[in-house]
Amino acid sequence: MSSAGALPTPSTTPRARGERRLGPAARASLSIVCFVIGAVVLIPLVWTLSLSIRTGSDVFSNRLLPHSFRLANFVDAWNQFGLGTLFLHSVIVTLGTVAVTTALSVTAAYGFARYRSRVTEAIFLLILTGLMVPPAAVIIPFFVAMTRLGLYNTLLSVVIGESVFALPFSLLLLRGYIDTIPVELTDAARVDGASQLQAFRYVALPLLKPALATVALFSTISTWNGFLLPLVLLNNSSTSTLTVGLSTVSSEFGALNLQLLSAAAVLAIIPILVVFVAARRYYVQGLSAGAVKQ
Amino acid sequence: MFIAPATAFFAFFLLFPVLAVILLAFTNWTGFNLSQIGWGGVGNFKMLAHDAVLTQALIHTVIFVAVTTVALNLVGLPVALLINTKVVGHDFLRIAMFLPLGLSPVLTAILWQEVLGPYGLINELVVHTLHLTSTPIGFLGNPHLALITVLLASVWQYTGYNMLLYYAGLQSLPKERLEAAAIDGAGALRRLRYVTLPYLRPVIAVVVVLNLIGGWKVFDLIYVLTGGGPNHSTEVLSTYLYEQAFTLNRVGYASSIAVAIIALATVSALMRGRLAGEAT
Repeated sequence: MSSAGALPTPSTTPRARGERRLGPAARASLSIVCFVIGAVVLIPLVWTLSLSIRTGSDVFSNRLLPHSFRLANFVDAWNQFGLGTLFLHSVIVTLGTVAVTTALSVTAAYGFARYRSRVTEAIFLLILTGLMVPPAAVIIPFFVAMTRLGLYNTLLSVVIGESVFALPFSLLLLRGYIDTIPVELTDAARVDGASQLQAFRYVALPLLKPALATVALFSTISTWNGFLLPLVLLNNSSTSTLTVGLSTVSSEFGALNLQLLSAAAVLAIIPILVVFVAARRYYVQGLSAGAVKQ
Repeated sequence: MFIAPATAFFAFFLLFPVLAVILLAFTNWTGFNLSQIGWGGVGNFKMLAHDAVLTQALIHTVIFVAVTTVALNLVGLPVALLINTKVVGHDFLRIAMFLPLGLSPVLTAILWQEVLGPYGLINELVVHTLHLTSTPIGFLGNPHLALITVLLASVWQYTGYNMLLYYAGLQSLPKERLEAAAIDGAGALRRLRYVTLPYLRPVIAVVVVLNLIGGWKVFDLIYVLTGGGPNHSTEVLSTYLYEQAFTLNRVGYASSIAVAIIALATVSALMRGRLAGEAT
């Protein structure tokens, strides 16, 4: 796993020469550029936040800054759009997917890392091709299969779908990580009389915690943000997941109740951004490890 | 023993659907009733060739993939270099770039609707504050502008991805080389041109392919932001496939669109080997 991925901690080492060579004027203008670009990028988020606290009339007041303050928008949006159900379903689907993906990928990654043969290597590469399959391309047979299995309109069908798309990346990441664990460690456990499964469970698995955190984070984000699978596999948007529910709210209420739509959007944004920012170190590690290994 | 569960899961729920959709593309199946499947030969592919909307969707998809790939790199790499200078404010920029990555494309679409819609921020500014025009600009309603809006929203969401990958690449840049170049009298721009960029070439090759592969997957953002409209002006292969399959129930025909998507994604993935080969 690449150590390059870690977000740098505030630098305690002396600055590299290249940057010290920039004059004060150059540094000041680059600072300004940083702030300007950053501010422009944040506009959609800030604007939505500013709409979410306005009264209905203030939204259409042609004013750029809010002239009203109404926190009740969040309560109204929660009740009117049934956000409680949508949140609950998103949480269930996400937890289910994280559990299935992590369990399947960590066992398989261990197998692919420790028992290498032409056959296992070919299977591994085949599963990796799953990385490039656009979900829309297989949604039809997937929908038919779920209907035939009697799983249509169940959260389980979404869990299965999200898991299968999260699997290749998790496998790639975990196998790369397992390769860095010395074989001697598990071999020693075998010599001491542990079964292959025990060696995996009690020796390898505890060492894999950071990589498992990365895998869990990636499947959390991709599932929480997933849209096509719940859109197709669940038949009622008001009892679907948050993304599908919000898209319906946006098309039905977007023009009329901009402040409530914005409040709903803000409520949906907060939890995922909290997780995302809090776990950014794992995200960046996974990103660079995945990109380097592919 | 360890690999069996994941392999079976993958085979049943991904490999099998890929093969099934290829078979379905040769049927004239309409509706989702299994008793009504009939062999259609290459009929669907002949229809694809004469479908004007499909041609548009194909062109828009290629434009989407090409423009986002180019734009993400043209913005992402300079931003990564900017952050790597560690000037005051680089942390602010990095966080600002990073946040959109965590959002669902659905939320991205909603945010941009609120900024660019008829009552959005930009139209408030242009119509009521600056009085530049009396009618709102149809960023989403004007067929000539809608695709640009979609591209903008997508680049907004994913620039942080490229920034992070390039930034990670820059951390492993050997400092001695930069110092040697500096001692030899190379200015900041020359060091960038002759040391940093050549060093990043393999990273650029990987990132470009990741962007290409990601581009073919677009669906959510366009489906929510414009629904493929107005008048198919932002229709891409995936939104057209969805409409054909789940609105019009033309399952066989939609499957042939799926085969086209898989073929295009495969070509991009094969390019990876060539790009990486050139770079090393």
